[in-house]
Amino acid sequence: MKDKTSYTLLGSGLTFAGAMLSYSSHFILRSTPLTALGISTLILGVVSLALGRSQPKISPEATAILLESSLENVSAIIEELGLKSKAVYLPSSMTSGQPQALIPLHLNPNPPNPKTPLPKRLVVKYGPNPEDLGLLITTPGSTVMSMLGSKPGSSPADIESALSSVVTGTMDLADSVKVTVSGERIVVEVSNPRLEQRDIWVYKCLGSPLASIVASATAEALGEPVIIDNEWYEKGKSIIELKVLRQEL
Amino acid sequence: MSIPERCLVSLAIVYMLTTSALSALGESRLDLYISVYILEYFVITLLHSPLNPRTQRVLNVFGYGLFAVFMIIVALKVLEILLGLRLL
Repeated sequence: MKDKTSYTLLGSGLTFAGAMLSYSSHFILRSTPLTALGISTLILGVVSLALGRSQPKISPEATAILLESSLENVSAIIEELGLKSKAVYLPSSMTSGQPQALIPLHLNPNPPNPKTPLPKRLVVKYGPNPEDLGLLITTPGSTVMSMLGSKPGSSPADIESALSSVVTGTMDLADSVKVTVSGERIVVEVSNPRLEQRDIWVYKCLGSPLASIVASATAEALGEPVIIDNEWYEKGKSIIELKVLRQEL
Repeated sequence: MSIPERCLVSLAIVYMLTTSALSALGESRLDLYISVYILEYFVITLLHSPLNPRTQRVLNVFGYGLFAVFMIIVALKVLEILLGLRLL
């Protein structure tokens, strides 16, 4: 990778130059400002070497191609089946392993809220009625949980911290994330998102990839199903409105 | 500019300003320069967190090292005051 090599080269250069400058300035020139300059260069070199490790192993273009092709395939299935219902993002406790999205096959005013964990299949039955059938699919957000390490807490601060860690830290998809909770509604503001919005069928069901990541992480944190109620873009911010489907006891 | 780039550029600018300002003031204590650099390192990396976990791990390890250096400088300064000797 070009970027990784650049950071490594810059880091090695700065570290070497800093070490040489601080050594010669301290022992030969006996100049404190120059020694300090050498030490600061050395620190910058180490930071640059560390930042080189954050560069992806495969190029962003290759990643975009993989994401596009998988979304096109999911979109084709959903479009072919004529599904218009909004997907319900389920936490891993309600599926077999990772958080997934459930798209009901039939339009229903009440979104599905399965009482028992769903099997690991594409078409699943989530309720007692014959029409309670849906597609259980893996979304970009499904794999995010493995990046978090541990399950996030359910408080707004914990959700914000988990989303920041994934969206701004690990994936570098945006500059910052802010979470506001009021009752069953959760509003997530993502500043300067770097994934472009497109108008394709799958986004109407699943939401954008960014919203999918946010919804999956939130569902996992709360341990309850979540739907993307609304999603819009204004003034460099992507605003995602989620609705929590509380479990009836 | 991505977050890692911003972090590196901010650190470079802050170090440049610190070195210029302290040398312009005629400061000749190396421990003062190093202490200020270490504090600035922690502030800048904290302001740009969370970074990628792999980067964060390396920066954390480096941070432990810098913190140890900072503690040694502080300990020597305390000893200087207590014993009345010039150690640094």
